[in-house]
Amino acid sequence: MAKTVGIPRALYYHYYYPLWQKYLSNLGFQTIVSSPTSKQTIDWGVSLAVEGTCLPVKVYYGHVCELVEKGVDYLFIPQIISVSKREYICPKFMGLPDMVKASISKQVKLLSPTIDGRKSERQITKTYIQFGLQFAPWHKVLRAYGEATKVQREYEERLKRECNLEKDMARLTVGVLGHSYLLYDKTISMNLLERLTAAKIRVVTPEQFKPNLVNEHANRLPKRMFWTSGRKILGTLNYLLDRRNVEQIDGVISLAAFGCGTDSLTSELVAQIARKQNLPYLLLNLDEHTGEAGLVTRIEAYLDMLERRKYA
Amino acid sequence: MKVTVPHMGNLYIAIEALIYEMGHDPIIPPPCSKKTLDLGTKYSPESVCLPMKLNIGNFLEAVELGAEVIIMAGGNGPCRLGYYAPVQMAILEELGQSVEMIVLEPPKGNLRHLISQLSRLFAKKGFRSFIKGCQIAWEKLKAVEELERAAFWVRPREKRKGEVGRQLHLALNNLRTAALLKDIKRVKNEQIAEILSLAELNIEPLKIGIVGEIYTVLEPFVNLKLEERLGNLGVEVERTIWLEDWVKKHLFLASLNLYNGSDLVKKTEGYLRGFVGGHGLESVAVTIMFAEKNIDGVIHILPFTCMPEIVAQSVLPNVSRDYDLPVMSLVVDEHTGEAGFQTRLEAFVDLLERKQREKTNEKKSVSWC
Repeated sequence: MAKTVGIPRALYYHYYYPLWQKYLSNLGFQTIVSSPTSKQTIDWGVSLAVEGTCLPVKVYYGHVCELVEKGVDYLFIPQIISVSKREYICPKFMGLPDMVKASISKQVKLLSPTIDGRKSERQITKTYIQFGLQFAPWHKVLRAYGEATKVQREYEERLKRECNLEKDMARLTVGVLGHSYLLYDKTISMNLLERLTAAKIRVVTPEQFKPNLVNEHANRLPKRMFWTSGRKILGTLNYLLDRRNVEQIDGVISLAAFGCGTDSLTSELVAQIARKQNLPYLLLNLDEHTGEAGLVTRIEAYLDMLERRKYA
Repeated sequence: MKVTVPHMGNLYIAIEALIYEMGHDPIIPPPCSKKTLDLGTKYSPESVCLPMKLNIGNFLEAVELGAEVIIMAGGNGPCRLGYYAPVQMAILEELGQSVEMIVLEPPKGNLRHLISQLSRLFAKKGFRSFIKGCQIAWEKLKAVEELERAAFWVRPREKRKGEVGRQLHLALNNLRTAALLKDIKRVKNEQIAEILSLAELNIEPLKIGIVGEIYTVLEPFVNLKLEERLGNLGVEVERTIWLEDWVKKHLFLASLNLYNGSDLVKKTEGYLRGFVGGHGLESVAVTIMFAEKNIDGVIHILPFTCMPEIVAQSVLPNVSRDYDLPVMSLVVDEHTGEAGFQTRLEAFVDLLERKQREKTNEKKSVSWC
């Protein structure tokens, strides 16, 4: 019987799951993804993680906990140092496998390649192939990896085309800036995207733009930004500001997770840039206690304000 | 030019000398205080880490004293410190403060870049003055840390409580006014002798090692004078973060590619795979080194939400278990209360004392059999 590999549905899962799932199953594993984040996931995470840990990492612990309970043979927890040249994700991603290993008492083997693209993107490919060679001969690994990257590319293309509403159908257009693992996790983001769609708001996210365009616009910052997520968020903001009229941007919502180190500075930069350009912005700080009612009220008030500005 | 720097422990003594030697007016902000923190908290992003908030407070207080140029450290990630400067600059701009910032980015492979960033400061008295200034600053830095080291040793052994603190304060003031290299050496030796003579010899106190994030380890306002408190509880403190080492390793050896921290990675095998930003790896590696030495316990101190140190904090319990070495992590932020802090330290010291007693009892019972 095929060995089972658990993939926690958190953090970089939301960027790379097509690649990871396809690659691991092509290598002959049976992949098991944890269920979507729930109150229980967060509770588990909070009890396992050190108190100052950020919300997304706490949630990650919760997903790991679920998989360990399910009795998987392996856990897939890559150490992601960097996914593009001269950039970092965040220190916690660099220590994630070690942190998780220290917190679980049961003996579960980790599959944990070190992904470090600081020097070049080729390094990442090399890591994945080297990882695969432990389980299959090289021609099989190459085919497996090739298929996996194809699925990943298709997924990214689909995200770019994806648009929740057409321009002429929408009441307002709002940029929503934040890590994918906040945005696409319905429990953490409290259904933000669905709520906006229901309110007839067209949503623009960083995933919809070409990475090179976003990168170019990120270079306008006073100092080279060294966090991939920060570059993406601020690059998108600058890009949207440039195309404010074409995209008919009425405002931006910046999502931040409580305790997230990179967000504490990027969301401040978003606010600084937006203030300078007179663009209305809303900063939402999410934590494990965020009350839904309070969040909804803030969003509604913000949207009302945007509408008054636009149609008054 | 009126030049200022943010505080970090007693570092200002060296930097002040450097600025002065280069022909500028050093404006040293008042020591970090409640007021500094209030100012910083008011104008900084809410959830940013504590050092940035105090920096902002320092800058605003220095500007009030007339500072025109700020010297600030930079970085290439992944720690937040590397991106402090641009955000701080924008905050000061929004507050309408007309002040410039010279950001010293770490030399990646060569010192030339760093020197070009400093060139604005040479403009007045030339490169020679910079070399001379560095020499004096370096001597002062070494002297400050020698004095601190002596104070750590003497404090648990002092004959009358509080004498070391007073003498250290006096010594640092004397050092601050010493202008020539020979004066610095004289003051240093004289003052170290003063401090050492306060000690009751032949006492073997408990030993606690301190690891953690550099700013919280070095800045007494943030760590609520941790080292002094421990000393007064009768504990000899061993600190491993010394700026002298840091400058040697990271500025000189690293720029000549002679130091890359591989010794630390080797030490932490089984706990951490490598560099995690800031001092995270050091914290774990040094705790293990302490376990191998004759140290009774370790205190790990970090600012709330510090990314690299959270990684360290998450794996330290395992180091503590495997090496049977008590480790306590202390998280500090703007709300840290003095009473709670003191209670935790006292409880930790009690625990170490009990552990030590048990150990000696064990030995006795063995020899008695």
